[in-house]
Amino acid sequence: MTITPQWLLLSLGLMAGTWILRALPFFTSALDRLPPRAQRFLSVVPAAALGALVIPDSFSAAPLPIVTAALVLAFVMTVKRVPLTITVLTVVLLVWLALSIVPTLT
Amino acid sequence: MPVRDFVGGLVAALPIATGYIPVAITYGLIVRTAGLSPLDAALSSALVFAGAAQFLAVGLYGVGVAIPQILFAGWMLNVRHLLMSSVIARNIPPAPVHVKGLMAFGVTDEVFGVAGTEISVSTPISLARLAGLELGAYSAWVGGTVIGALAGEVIPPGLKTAMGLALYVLFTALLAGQIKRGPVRQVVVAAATAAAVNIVLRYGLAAGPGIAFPIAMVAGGVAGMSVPERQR
Repeated sequence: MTITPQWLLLSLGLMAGTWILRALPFFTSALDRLPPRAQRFLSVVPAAALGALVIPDSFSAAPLPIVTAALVLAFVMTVKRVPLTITVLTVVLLVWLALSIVPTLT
Repeated sequence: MPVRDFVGGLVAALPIATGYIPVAITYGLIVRTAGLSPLDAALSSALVFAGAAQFLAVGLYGVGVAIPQILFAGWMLNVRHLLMSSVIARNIPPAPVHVKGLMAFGVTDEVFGVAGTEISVSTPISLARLAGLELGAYSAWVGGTVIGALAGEVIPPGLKTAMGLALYVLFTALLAGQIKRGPVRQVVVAAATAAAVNIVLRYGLAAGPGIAFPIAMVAGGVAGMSVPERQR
């Protein structure tokens, strides 16, 4: 079994950055003193990341009507307080079902 | 009672594990599809333990984006953990440096979801319970990745397509959760701006995902923070 050096490098880099972000608050309270604008930026940047992750790449992950239906369903289920696990499992199974019924869509 | 607390933490991790395993299987599968080995898949999950960033990384890696750009995008995505860790860090008993460092490694969205809720009900959370919670989640994530990387080939094509969509379903659900927690207008403006900028860059200017993604994300963040708080 092989290790791809480039991929290992990427994983180590991600590990370091992620760990630093997770660990900083355990060792310093400096974050509590960030200017309000910076705090507001930090609080909305994950939503921005998610928006750019979903659109437009999800459009080509499956036939567009299925993608749209799946994402709308996931959104509604989450707003209705359905747990994350059940949401993901349900939507994936429904998509699989839809693709099985209409095989030309794959 | 540390042992009982630890086991209690493991039990509390069960719902997280149920959610992680199918997502981790999908991740293992996608890593293989990108031309990497099962060991590559397992290593990345064991080292990074950050699902969304790992999906982002394998997606960008698969289309040939340079490593520094992938790293930048992945780190920005994980900036949210700063805020989660600062809640947990304020609510654990004093601990040696290496213990705090280890506890920090396991702070994922879902671990925070459970630990943060417990903290809001009964502060603080014991170190043994937090350790159990994190270890339970971690085992499911790494184990699921290995299953997906080794057994991914036997999965029928329709299910593969559906599982490939699982990632966007997960992201959409996480986004819906953020919108619900609010501040609603800022979060919606941030996500919509980032998506719109991403479309313009990718389709309008034919930019690669590695360049477009960080720009879109920062633009979304700036737009979101510029929305004034609602006056009460």
